Amino acid sequence: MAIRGSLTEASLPDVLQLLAMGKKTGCLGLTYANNFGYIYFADGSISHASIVNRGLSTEEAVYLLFTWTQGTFNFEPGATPDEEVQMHCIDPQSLLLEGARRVDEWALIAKKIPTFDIVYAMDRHRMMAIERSLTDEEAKLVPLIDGQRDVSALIAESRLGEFVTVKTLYGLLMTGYVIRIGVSTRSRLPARADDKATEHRNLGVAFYKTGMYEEAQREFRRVDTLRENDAEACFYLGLVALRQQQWPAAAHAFERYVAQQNTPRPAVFVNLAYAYEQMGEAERARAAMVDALTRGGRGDPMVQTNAAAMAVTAHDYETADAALASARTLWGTRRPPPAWFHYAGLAAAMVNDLDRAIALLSEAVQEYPAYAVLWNNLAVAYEARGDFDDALRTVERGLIEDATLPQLHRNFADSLQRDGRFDEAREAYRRAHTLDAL
Amino acid sequence: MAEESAEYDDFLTDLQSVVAQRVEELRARQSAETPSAFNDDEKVVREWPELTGRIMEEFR
Repeated sequence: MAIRGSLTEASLPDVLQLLAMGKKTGCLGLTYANNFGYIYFADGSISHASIVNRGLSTEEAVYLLFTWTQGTFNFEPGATPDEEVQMHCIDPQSLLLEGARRVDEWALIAKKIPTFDIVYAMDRHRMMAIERSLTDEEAKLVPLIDGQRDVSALIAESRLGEFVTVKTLYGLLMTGYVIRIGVSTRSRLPARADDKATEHRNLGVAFYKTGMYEEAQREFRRVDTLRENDAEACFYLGLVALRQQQWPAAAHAFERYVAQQNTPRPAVFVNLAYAYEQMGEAERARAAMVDALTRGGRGDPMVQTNAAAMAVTAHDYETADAALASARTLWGTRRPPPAWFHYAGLAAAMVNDLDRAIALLSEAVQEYPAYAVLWNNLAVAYEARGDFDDALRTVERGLIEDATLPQLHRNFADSLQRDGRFDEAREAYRRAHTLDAL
Repeated sequence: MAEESAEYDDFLTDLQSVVAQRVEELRARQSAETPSAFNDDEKVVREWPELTGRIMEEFR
């Protein structure tokens, strides 16, 4: 379950310590005015952090996020960063002290350098008058301070990082080596619609990935207004609608993508098929899945798994088996996702191949023990094969993972009933009914 | 070895084509041998409960 809150109520250092102590995995998203930052955690350590539209390293991003004392945060458990980002393993405690020091320094710096569009120039006379040797950072920065570049450009070109650049500039200002001469022309010009759209798009993607769907929708609607028929905006608006279970809206967004004759993307068709399926439009769902397979998705194991899920729903287990075999082959040595095991186990059990179903679901619970659904269906397969002790043991294990799954209570009740434990069985049946009615 | 690899690629291509064709003609081929427990929705979970297992969130 996501955790949301206000940074005025709970400071970022407090939240970080809480997540570290709880050894949490997931993504902490933070918003402040129009800014959005996120910190990924893996077992309580920081694995990656960033602030959208600012090219900062993980440490620098976290330090800057410490200065956000207003705004909101949202923790999405289980979320992991994209594969292409650089991963770290940083103990949040190690950043707290330096973070606190920087927060104090930022407060001082911000009084002198309030915005990053200010342009500075060197005061050569003053430099000659006060002779002192330059630090390494100053030596890098001074040649760039030319009365043209603003602070943003100095940060980008000095490669010193945001904090060190601005702190060095602050030092030069205090000694009188540099003087403010104005603000950059770039900031006086209205931002180009395309640049603004890109900024909103980046924000939207970050919001979506941290489970902040309403915020993501707002950003992609802005992209849609700024850049007519933006393909990615259609895609993400469809995803947000799926997350909100707004099936017709989701279908509409993906249909718009297709109608604009954008590059065919299997993900669009798979998602469109799912939206149709939820709307009860089986024919259209099937046609969309065929598009997903024939327009670039045939070699994608996720597309094949989704085709299998659709086939299982339609009770076409031969087709499901073919798609699942294809997906597993395409994954090669990589581990298939839990949904693949779920549908593979189900497809095998439905054609009475219980040995195969048990083998698949046993592998599944070994790989993904936290999924109670997998334990449940494994228990049913044991029961169907007559392995009643294994069925009871498996149900009990599943209940440890999730005691709210009604099917587990029903299967537990059946096991107890078989054992002659009638009172306990009656209790378990009652729990199954209560949970099912929720 | 190269022959085996080509054979494997052919098999994979065939399999993938079969899936596309079969999805087009998707129809219930319910087995008469389905164990009764697996026909009982109060015992079996049929739909994968997480949306992430049924949709694709990567723009590809």
